[in-house]
Amino acid sequence: MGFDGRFAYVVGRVRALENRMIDQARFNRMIDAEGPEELARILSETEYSLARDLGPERYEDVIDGELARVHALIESISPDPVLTGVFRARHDFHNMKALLKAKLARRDAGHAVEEGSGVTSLGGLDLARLGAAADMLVAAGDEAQMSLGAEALDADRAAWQRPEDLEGAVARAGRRAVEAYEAHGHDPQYIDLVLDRESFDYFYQVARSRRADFLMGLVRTMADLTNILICMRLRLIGKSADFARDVLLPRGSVDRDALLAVYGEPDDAFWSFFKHTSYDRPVDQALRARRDSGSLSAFENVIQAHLARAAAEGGMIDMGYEPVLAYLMAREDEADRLRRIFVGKLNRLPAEIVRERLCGTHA
Amino acid sequence: MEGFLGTILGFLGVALAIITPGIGSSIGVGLVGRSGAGVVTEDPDKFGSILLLEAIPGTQGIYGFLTGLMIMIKIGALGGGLRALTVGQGAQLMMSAMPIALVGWISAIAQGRVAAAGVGIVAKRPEEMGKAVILAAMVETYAVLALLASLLLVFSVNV
Repeated sequence: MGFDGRFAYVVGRVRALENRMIDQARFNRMIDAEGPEELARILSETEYSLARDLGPERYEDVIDGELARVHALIESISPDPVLTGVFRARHDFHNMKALLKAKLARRDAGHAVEEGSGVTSLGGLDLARLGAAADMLVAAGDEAQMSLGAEALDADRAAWQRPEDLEGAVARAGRRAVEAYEAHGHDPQYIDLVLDRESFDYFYQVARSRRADFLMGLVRTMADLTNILICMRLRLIGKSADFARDVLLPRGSVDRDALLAVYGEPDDAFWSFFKHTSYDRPVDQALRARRDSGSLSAFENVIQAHLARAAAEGGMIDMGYEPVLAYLMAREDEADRLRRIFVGKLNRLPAEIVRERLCGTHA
Repeated sequence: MEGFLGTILGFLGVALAIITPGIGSSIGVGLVGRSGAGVVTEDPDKFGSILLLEAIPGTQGIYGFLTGLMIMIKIGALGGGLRALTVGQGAQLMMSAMPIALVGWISAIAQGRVAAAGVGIVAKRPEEMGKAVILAAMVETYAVLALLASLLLVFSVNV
């Protein structure tokens, strides 16, 4: 897309807001804080001013409240809220997952899972409407009502094809997830798998509809790096290539069939596959980090850091949606680091452990 | 008829000299203004620095007006003594306006982009504002050269 003057105001505002993000010195103070109360006090000096009033136990509310405020602000001033808010849709897909799993558990296993369990307030879609859509999908998933539900959902199919219609995209993804759940013997894992896949498809459709090259590249990188993480985890627990085929995300630049062809190979042969891709360095660094520390989280941290660096490149572009996306992703990254620090402090972990857990998670 | 056509060409030169750099400047100033408004919304103390950056792409419009004014003086459009120009004289004056008309238009937009990026520098590192101004001012060089070329050409036309 290149230079896009429509974003002049929002980019100017984002440049000013970037100054208020938490810097490394303050993160260090938080990590070294005496306890959760002092951590909340230090955090309240920043944009997360509610931290002092709500206290450390309600840190999720503080962090989510701030993120929701930022998303709402950008949405209100962006000339293209669908494009700049594309990754906020992750939370809506996540909410659909949580709602479907709770409702299906109640329907099929009789488990009384609390409706709001796992649901986040960070999505842009109305939770009541998502809940109603999930109800319809769960009812439609029941054999007797399948055709009735399908007809009702097909009525809106045309509207769902537009990237602007996030609600439709999430509902369609939910329908496919319920179909996969029914087809795989009521395995709730397929709810996660299908909705993750569909969310990437949504990101890609938004990028393509706007001819947004940076976003398309970022979606490809996200898909590739997530697939690398998936491969690492699945190989560790001994899952087959057939299962991996269902799990690997679409829209990446790495050929999925070629990856699946080497999936069953021993470690050295499998990981050398990435030497012929643009992920040679991060994979090599991640493998070394895992070897050195012996933990999977070290591997994940290096891969996540590579993704954060790819997103931060958007900030280098002077005018357009890219700096806005980079800012929003940096805020999500900041929130993630805060959550890790709070979890560590609430569990009275030593500062060194908290620091180690954060190592490599930021650009 | 020839005098009429020559004068029309002279006026066309005035119009070109004023209109296109004016359009470029308004686009450039508008761009910096919008970007600056975003910064000032969050940080009103930076208004002074932003204003300086916003003014920079406005100079091309002034250069265009200056060139247009010189052509108007040359053809006697000011003060009621309008001269009848030959087609050759009118064409020469119109072509004299072309350097500032084209370079002023494009450089104002380019300068607006640099200055808008400079707004980001002011937002994040206000102490580096001088560098943001210098970067934007570099684009000015070509507008100044075009102004000089246009003025020299206008002065060289015998009316």
